[in-house]
Parts: sequence; structure tokens; C-alpha cells
Amino acid sequence: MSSTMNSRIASSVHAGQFTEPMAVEITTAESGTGESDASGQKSGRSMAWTITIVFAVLILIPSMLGFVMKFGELMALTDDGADGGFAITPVVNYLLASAGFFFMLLWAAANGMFRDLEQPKHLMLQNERELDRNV
Amino acid sequence: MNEATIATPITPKQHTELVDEKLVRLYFITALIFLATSMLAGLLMAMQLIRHNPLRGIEFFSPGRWRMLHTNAVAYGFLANGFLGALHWAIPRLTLQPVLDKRLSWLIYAAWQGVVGATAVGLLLGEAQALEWGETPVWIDPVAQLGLLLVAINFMTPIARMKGPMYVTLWYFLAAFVWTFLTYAMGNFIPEYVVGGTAAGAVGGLFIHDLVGLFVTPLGWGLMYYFVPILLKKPIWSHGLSLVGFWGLAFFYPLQGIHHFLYTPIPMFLQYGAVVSTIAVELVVTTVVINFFGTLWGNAGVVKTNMPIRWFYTGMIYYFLTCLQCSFQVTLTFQKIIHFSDWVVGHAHMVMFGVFSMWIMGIMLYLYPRMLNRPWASPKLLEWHYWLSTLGVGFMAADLILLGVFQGWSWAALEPWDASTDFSYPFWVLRVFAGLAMFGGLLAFLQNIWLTTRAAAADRLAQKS
Repeated sequence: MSSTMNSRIASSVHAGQFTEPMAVEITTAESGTGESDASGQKSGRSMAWTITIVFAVLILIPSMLGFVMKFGELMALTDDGADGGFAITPVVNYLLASAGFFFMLLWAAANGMFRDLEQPKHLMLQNERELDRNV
Repeated sequence: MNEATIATPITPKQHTELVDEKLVRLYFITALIFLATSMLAGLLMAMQLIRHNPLRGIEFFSPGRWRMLHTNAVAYGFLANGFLGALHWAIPRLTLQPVLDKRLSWLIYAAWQGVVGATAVGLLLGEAQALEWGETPVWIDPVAQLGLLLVAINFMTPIARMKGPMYVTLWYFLAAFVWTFLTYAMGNFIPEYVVGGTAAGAVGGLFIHDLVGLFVTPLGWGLMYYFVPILLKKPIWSHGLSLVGFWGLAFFYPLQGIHHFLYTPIPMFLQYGAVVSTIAVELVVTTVVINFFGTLWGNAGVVKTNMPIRWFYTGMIYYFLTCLQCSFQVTLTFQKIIHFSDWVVGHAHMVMFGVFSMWIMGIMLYLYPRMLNRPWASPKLLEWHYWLSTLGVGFMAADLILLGVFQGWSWAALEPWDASTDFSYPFWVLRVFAGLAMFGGLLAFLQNIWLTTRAAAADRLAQKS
């Protein structure tokens, strides 16, 4: 988080504008300057990454295998002609819609949309206050 | 954090540069006119069920046509207009950018009223497409589709111009513009021109449900995420949790529609998929509701004093109930009893009126006096509006849901059809009274709008003189 952002949230919290705990946590968690804090944060992050990847592998690989096998069975069914062919329409609808949103999710993550999850809610209220002040 | 990913700082834009308040007001008034039409049509249909149809024998006003007018006017006339009005307020203020073109906004307004009006006339003349909730005559479909495209372009442009992480409301809105366009195309063109038979039935099921879940729901929740924090003057409890809700909806909702066709020739894997995804959505809904009640935590007293907040949270309670009900009723065990019964009608009224209409009412309650720069003329009428609507829809839903269970048991026991219509009669009478209460609430609101508008006009005259 940039120092500008930190100071903006921190000053808002200090001014009593934001009362829920998340804003305070964001500020205090990332404002540490000591080396031990930095290395602790680094090891914590790498641990979180390791756990995420292990769980992703454990869950995603069997799920994907199962999905591919079932999808293969479905495609085989549709090859039989009209009896099974109509089943494909809603499935294709769903896959197309979901694929679009899956790629959007990846795009959003790659572009830092989820890097500071709580910031947009503060900015939205700040903008509203400014707009009402300018009326 | 990379500076490029931080949302742009506030530019000194004026509210008047961003929001066309006249258009917002016009959308709201038009929406209410369509709601009144739809409710009158619903009341006529309810009178038909208790064998007191005042327009008996007139083909133009036959009950089947009124019924279609009832559902279409509420979806495309009331909800769509109400949402469009609210979007013209929310999107420019959220993005600090005006819509693509204000003239285009006016064109869309006029074109959309043409589409809904032509649909109403077409339905009353007996010209309807064979698609539940998409009975719009086929020649209107391309115009409506073009209208949806223009709406998407007009609103997505300011969102695209914005830089940095988006607030959850804008995620919902972006998705809604894409989903609504695709849902309308899927439902109105695929069964009509591409597939037939059971496949068309499956697509029809997806269409009905996606209209609720991918058009109405994202716009409704998006607006709640915008208006609730503003009115409570505090941010949403957890923005991260709100994004879980959004992405959960995106991935679980689109397969649900098939649950309208359980026990049909549609392959069982699709039926099971619909059941599982519906139950999964209930979990997502729980996160959303927890988030909003977490936001209210410590300020619960506001519900008594702040009318829009009261409407919003009443709608949320109804939403949780209706989704909880949904996760049970989509199981094959429940479907054996309730399928084709009045349970479904009760459920539909709870979600469409109890949730989304209530949210739109709450938004109007907040914005209308603000735009006129004058408080509501009659707080008493506001209370009448709220209580008649809330109790009316509550009684109607409870009455029809209970009746649905009795009907289902009667049919399962292979009793004659006449027996089920005979014992339904008192329930249907109660439904008329519940409907009258809801309509009475609307009349109280319309009168309040009239009084407030007149008072604001008098204020302006006095200022001029």
C-alpha cells in the first residue's frame, strides 16, 4: 500500500470518519517499519501462498479431472443424435457465461483490483461527501 | 501498492454536471404508473379466481391477457424504469463521470416506454410469444434488444473511464448490463428460431430465472451497496465479503433456471446441477445478508426513524426468506408436492414485490424529496404506504404458500381437481384483500408524491415572487 493511501486512511480513521475495525487493521498491519516486522510479514505471506497452492492443487486437480470426464461423457451422449443433443444447449450457455466471468476475474486480479479489498468502500463515501459539499 | 491501481482522486465535478435529475424523476413517475397498471391487472386476475371478474365476456380484457400484462408491466415497466432512474443517479456519482450522452439517455427513455407500451397493446390484442415472462410480441424483440445494448453502452462508458479498483456496486452493474443483454437474447431468440421441444423448454427455464437472478438481482444488490452506506453514513461492513457475494452469484446463478423443470424429460444431470447451484447460491446470499446486517450493527434504531433504510432492510429480510425457501423448494422431495401449485405464486410475489419493489420504493423515498429539495408532504402517508405494502405482501405470500401445500397434497392423493379449487376459494379471497392492501399502499405513495410535488412547485413560485 502506498504511503499516500496509508496516510489517507489513517487520517480518516483518526478523524473518526470510519468506525469499523478493518480500516484500522489495514493501517497498523502495513505501517510497521522494523526489519523484523518486514521479515515476519514476508514469511507469513510465503506460508499463506504455500497453503493456498497446496489446497488449490488438492481441490482443483481432482475437480478438473472429474469435470473433464463428465464433460467427455456428455459430448459422447450428444454424438448419438437428437436423443441427447438437446442437453448441450443449457450447458453451453452456462459455460460461455462462466468462461467470460472467469477471465474477467483473472483480469481483475492481474490488474490489482483485489490488492486492497477495503479501500473502495472508503473512497466511495469520501466521493459522496465531496459531491454533496459541491452542490 | 502501485499508484496506477489506486482509484483516481476526486475531481471537482458538480452533482448537476453528472446527474440529470429531471430524467431520474421522470423514470420514477413512469415506473409507478406501470406498477399501478400491473397491480390493477393482478387484482383483476385475482377477482377472476374468485369468480367475480368485472370484465367477464370481453375478449380484449380476458384474464389470460391481463395475467401476462401483470407480469410484463412489473418487470419491464416498473422494475426496469425504477432501476434505470436509480442508475442515472448512482453511476455518474460513483464514477464521477457523466453517462456517455445525456441525449442518448432521453432517447433510451422514450424508446423503452415505446417497447413496454407496444408490448402491453400487443398482449391485450392477443399477440404473445410462447415464453413465460418473455411474451413480448416477436416483432418488438429486436427493438428491445437494441435498447438494452444502448443502455449498456451509455452506462458502461463512465465505468470504463474510471481508473483503479472498483466499488462492489460497479461490479454488479457491469455484470448486469452484460447478463441482461445475453439473457434477453437467449430467451427471446434461441427458442423462437434455433431450438425447439425440450431444449426450448430448458432455455425458457433459464430465461425466467436469469431474468430474476442476472437482471434484477445484480441491479438491486448493487444499488443497496450504494445507498445503504450513504444513508447509514458508514462504509459497508466488509467490502471483501461483498465481492465474495458478487463472484458467487456470477458462477453459481447461471445454471439455476432448470430447477423450474424438475421431473421433466430434461436430463437428470442438468436437474441435479440446478438443484446444487441453487443451494450454493443460498450460501452466497447468506454472506451478503450478514454483510448488510453487520453494517447496521450498532445502528438498529435507524430502522425506526429512517424510512428508506426501513424499506431496504425489510426487503433484505424478505430476500433471505425467499432464498431460504428456494433452497428447499428446488429439492425433488419438495417439488413432488408444490410443483404447479400456488406455492410458486406466493414465492414469486415475495421476491418481486417483497424484495425488489421494496428496494426501489426505498430509493424513490430517499431521492424524490431530495431532488425537489423538500421533505415528504405527509409522514403519515409514508407510514401507511410502508405498512400496507409490507403486511399485504406478507399475508399474500403466507396465504399462497400454505395453499400450495394443501393443493399439492390434494393432487398427490388423486382427489378430483374440483376439490382443490373448492378449498382454494377462501385462500384466494384472502389474496384479493392482501392485494387491495398493497394497492392501497401504492395509492398512499402516489398521493404523497402529488402533495410533495405541488408543495415544491409552490415553494418555487414563492421564491420567484
